[in-house]
Amino acid sequence: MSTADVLEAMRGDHDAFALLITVATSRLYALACLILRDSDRAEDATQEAFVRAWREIPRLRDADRFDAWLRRLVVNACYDESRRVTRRAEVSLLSIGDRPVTDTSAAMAESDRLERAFRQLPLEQRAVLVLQHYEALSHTEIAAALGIPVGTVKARVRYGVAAMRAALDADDRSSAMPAGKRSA
Amino acid sequence: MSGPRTDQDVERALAAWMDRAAPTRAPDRLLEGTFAATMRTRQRRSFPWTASVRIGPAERIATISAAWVLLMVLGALVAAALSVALLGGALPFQTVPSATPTLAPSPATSPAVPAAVVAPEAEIPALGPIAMVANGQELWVLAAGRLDVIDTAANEIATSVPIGATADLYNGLAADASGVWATDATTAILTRVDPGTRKVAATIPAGLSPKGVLVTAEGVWVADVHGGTVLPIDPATNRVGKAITVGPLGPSGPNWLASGPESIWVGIPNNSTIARINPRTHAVEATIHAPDASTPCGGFAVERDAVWITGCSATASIVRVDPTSNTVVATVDLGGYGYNPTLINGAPWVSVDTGDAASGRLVRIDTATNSIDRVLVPGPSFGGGGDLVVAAGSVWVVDGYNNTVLRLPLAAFGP
Repeated sequence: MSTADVLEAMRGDHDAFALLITVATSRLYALACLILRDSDRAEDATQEAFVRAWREIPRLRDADRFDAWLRRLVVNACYDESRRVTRRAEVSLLSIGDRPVTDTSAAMAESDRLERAFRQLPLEQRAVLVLQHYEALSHTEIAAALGIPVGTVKARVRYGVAAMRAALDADDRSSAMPAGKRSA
Repeated sequence: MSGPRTDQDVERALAAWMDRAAPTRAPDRLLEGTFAATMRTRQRRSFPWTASVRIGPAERIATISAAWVLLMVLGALVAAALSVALLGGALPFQTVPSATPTLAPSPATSPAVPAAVVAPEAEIPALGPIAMVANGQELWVLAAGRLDVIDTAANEIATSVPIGATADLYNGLAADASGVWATDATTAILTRVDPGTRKVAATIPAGLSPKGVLVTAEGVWVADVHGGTVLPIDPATNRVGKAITVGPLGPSGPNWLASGPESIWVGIPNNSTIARINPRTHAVEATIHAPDASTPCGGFAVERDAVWITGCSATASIVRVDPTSNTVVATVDLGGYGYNPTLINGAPWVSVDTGDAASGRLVRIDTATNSIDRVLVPGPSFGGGGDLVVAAGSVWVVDGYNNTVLRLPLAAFGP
């Protein structure tokens, strides 16, 4: 991303804006996919954030903060998307992404367990965990990105990880039970 | 786990899982949809009373002062207008029509037309239908990785032809006696299937991202959506000829194609134009600008005195072009998204998608008034948005929401 492109986009240059989002699309779509765990909704959320970015970019205060600002729009669009009633008759769920599958069956099972546990988290906790572990942001950077206090970020991370651990532990106990005693 | 799981264990596992679970690239249609949407969406410009970019202290004082002056002037004007109105007099100012002529008519909202329910003659299950064309008495339906052939006598899928790992939701399909042609924008391949043997006869690399495909007497034509071109292909040799440039390189370029009268038509959303090509000379004979309220990203229906193009999922309208003057003469509000208009009994029909699996409808445009004059709802649950095809004495419509192809009585569509 170049500051000059951002400034051009702020002046209404659609080509400059197109260049900016072309560079950012895959990363932000992945971010939305991880938060929402639904490729169709992630697509909608990312596009909605981009359209909002185009409308709002003339009012961006600091061109150097474009990346963080756009990421925040995507996270907010994910929140909005999660509140919408499902529009499609068919919703495609993401399970293992679109990378070549080289996992062993044990690793696949572990992925499924993590997926199930992660999907049980509230969206706000998912968002901070994705920003921390996928985007590799510090708690301070996450707080700035989402416009929330650092203490809130830490609390969401702590509660999110604790909930994940509890879900995985429960899954362990369930797996250890004799087959006949497992719940349906 | 060998021991008790710690928070650090969970965080390490999460980071590794996210790295595996994240898609490596976004679907092309995401950028294309974004470009189409942002090009028709105005930016919110900064006004003197809103914060400017990196505004300094001196400028801020000036801005605040200007805002106060403006507010006071506005307040005085409102007070004057109210006082005159309360005294029963005429307002001291009147609205003056803009001197700037409108380049194209605004979308015409059709009067509410009651919908008639039409019972399907047959419902054929078809998983993930993308596009449909007729080839003689057969219907060919494009789905991800295959072409389904519907036997219109038996009302069932007779066979499926595997055509490779096509995945894009918006690929194109065309057919004649020489072949059934399907594009795949993701792999940049045009696949030719022999309708006799029902086997793939050729896979032809075609541009950067082939989308719309059309067969005419002059040959096969492919819209290269990222290349900004239309590619002529000789069906005798399967060779791609010299590309015809109709728009800029980049996403959301030439989408869908149609022929007639003596022309090839292509819609180009990224520069909001419709190009008209001479199929014999390959010259671009006209470039027609679409009105602001529409995006030329949908399919066409072509008559001698009217060319219709829909706004796909970008704008809920259909535009009428006069092929004599090469100008847009009408824009009709569809009340939902329409993709591929079809002429049935001399009038354009569109399958309209209003966003769910049960609210779709088929609408007819009255070409005399440029408004919707007939609305059909097929069966109890219809999603809309798919292709409409006339074949074997019936109208066939794709319902992607409900994974079906419906056969409807032709009598319900006319006169």
